[in-house]
Amino acid sequence: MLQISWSGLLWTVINLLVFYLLLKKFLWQPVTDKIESRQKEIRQNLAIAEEQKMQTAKVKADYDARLAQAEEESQGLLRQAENRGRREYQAILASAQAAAEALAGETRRQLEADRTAMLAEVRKEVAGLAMLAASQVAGRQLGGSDDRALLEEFLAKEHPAEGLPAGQYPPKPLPSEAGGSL
Amino acid sequence: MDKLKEVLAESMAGTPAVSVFGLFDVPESVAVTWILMALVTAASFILTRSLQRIPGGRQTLLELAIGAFNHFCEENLGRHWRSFAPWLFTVAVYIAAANLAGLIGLAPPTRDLTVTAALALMSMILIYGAQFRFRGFSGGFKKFAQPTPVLLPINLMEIFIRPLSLCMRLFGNVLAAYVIMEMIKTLAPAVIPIAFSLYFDIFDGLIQTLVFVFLTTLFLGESIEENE
Repeated sequence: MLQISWSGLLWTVINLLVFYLLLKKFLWQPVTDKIESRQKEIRQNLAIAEEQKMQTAKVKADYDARLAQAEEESQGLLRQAENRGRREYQAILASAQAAAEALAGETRRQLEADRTAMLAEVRKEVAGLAMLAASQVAGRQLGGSDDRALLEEFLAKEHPAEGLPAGQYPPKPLPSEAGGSL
Repeated sequence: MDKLKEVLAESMAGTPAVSVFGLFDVPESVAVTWILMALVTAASFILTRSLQRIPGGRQTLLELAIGAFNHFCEENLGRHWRSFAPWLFTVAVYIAAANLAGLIGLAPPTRDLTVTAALALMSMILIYGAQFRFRGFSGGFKKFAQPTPVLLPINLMEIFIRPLSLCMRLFGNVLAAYVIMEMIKTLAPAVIPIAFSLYFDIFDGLIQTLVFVFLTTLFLGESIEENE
């Protein structure tokens, strides 16, 4: 035991080398590979997670910026629309006013014309009636041009305030009034 | 007292030779080594049969042990640790198994000076082989003159002193533990040896494993350490 046997030494060295190969192949290598592959996987996953986190933050910032921009844009659009609406409202109001004024003017003119026409008609009627009444009173037929001229002169004298141009019947006297005054 | 002397003489007598199939004789330690190799290899087969991506309890322990060992090698050996870790691991497993062989009724192979001498010889070859392998031929020689040339004789003597001390320390511890245990068993055959066995067989056996592998790794790290 206290001496070294050379054959035993050789055997032990061989045993150690064989044991080395066996343990390396069946114990050390598989377990170490497993540990290292897992380490690698974890490292990769962490890197991926980090990258995704950064990407998410970027996307969020982008999204926020876009949201803010969209809000700003919508505010602008709203203001623009409001302005345009107000302008259009003013324009429509103005044009409506103008149209109303025009219509009122037209109506007034129309009314004036109608009244003038009606008055002329009335005067003609009154002249006819007066002539008829006068002929009745005179007991003879008034028909000659001198009679008509006389009548018109009378009528013009009766209503000088109207200031009508010559040759036009004054508008005021109604048939009864005219008759009464006669 | 005579009986104790008898036991002492018996336990220190040369290990008997074992015949292999009647063809040739090998020392008992070599035969026990074969048995241990077979057992450990079979155990590794079973343990690594189905390694999972997500480890279960057994695999976690296995990975913890080998991971810690690899970490230890990496710390002491630097970037070349991968070349040496399997060998150092083998030595650790072998010495641990050999020292604990007494628990299953086998004579510890490390009780044989031949075995520890072989282990120390391999450590020596590893340490100085690595020194020349990683430093080149002239770099390997220059290493003996570092840190100062004055230490050259001491460094050269260390080539033999280191393996000798590794060899003798392991052998002496295991043999002494064995002899003491034999004597205790003679004096008190029951119960009491259990307490001593815990210390001499298990604790001392594992401590000596640690010491052998730790020193080999330190010497190796020193011989291949890179100059800044």
